[in-house]
Amino acid sequence: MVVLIFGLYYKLDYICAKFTQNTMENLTQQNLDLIANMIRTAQRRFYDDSPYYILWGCAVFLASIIQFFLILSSYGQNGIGWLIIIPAALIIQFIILKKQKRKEQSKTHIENLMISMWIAFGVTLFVILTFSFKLGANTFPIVLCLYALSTFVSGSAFKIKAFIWGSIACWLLAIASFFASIHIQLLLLAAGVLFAFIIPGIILRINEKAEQI
Amino acid sequence: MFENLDPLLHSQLRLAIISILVSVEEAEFSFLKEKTQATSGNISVQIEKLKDADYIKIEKSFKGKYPLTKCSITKTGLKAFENYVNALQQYINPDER
Repeated sequence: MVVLIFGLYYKLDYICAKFTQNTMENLTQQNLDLIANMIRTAQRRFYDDSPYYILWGCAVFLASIIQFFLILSSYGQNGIGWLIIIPAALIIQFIILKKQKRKEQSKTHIENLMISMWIAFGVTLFVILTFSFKLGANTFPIVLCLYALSTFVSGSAFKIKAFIWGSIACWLLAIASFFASIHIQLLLLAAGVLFAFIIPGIILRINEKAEQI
Repeated sequence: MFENLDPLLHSQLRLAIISILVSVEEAEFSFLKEKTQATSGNISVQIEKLKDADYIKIEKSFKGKYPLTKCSITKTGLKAFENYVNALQQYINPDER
């Protein structure tokens, strides 16, 4: 009888230990799954920046095409194309930014880093465009290189192939524009923003819309 | 045999909140609510507990007319989360110790 009770006790003890181990393993796996799941959802892009790419792509595209025709008709030396379109794009950007700020609930570390990168891009572009007259050279090839650099970093950070291909196109166009005359450089700049901003921006917009559905 | 699991993080909701905050710079209360699908009351209680342990920082302000609560993880919270994940991994792969 005593042997039977001891036998049963050990059997029960073994079952309990096994049950606790299995429950613990299940719980552990559940918790690891929960962590992975939460990180995955939180890492999703919250910030739809496609309107900025499309806006600036279209603005630079339009301005350079207008400037190209103005130069051909010998009215373009005062840069009127840039002076009208770029401030208009800045105003539109400000409106979009205000709208998005209201919706914004969170930002990932990468998104914050990218915002810093685009601020640095804007400041560098401003310095180059404002003071390049001192060098007496056209800055379009350098601007194209800057576009390529920032879209490459953005594309790599968010794993968006269209931006990476766009940046490669921009680098190639930058090389070509070092050898081109001013009006051809304007066309190359228009092509650059088409490949690096407008097309990837539209692809990004379509993807964002599809994810929301 | 195993490292002790942090009891503060060994709750599904608190663990979910910390996991979200690890991935973002800061998150609004509504964002935590949307992602965890928990009730406002429950989240409020849990974030207070995490704040008391200095695992997270809570910032209260206003967005227009409405109150806005933003949460972010602290260094202590990040360390605790790291230790918790390591302890969990040891439960799954005890041989890796």
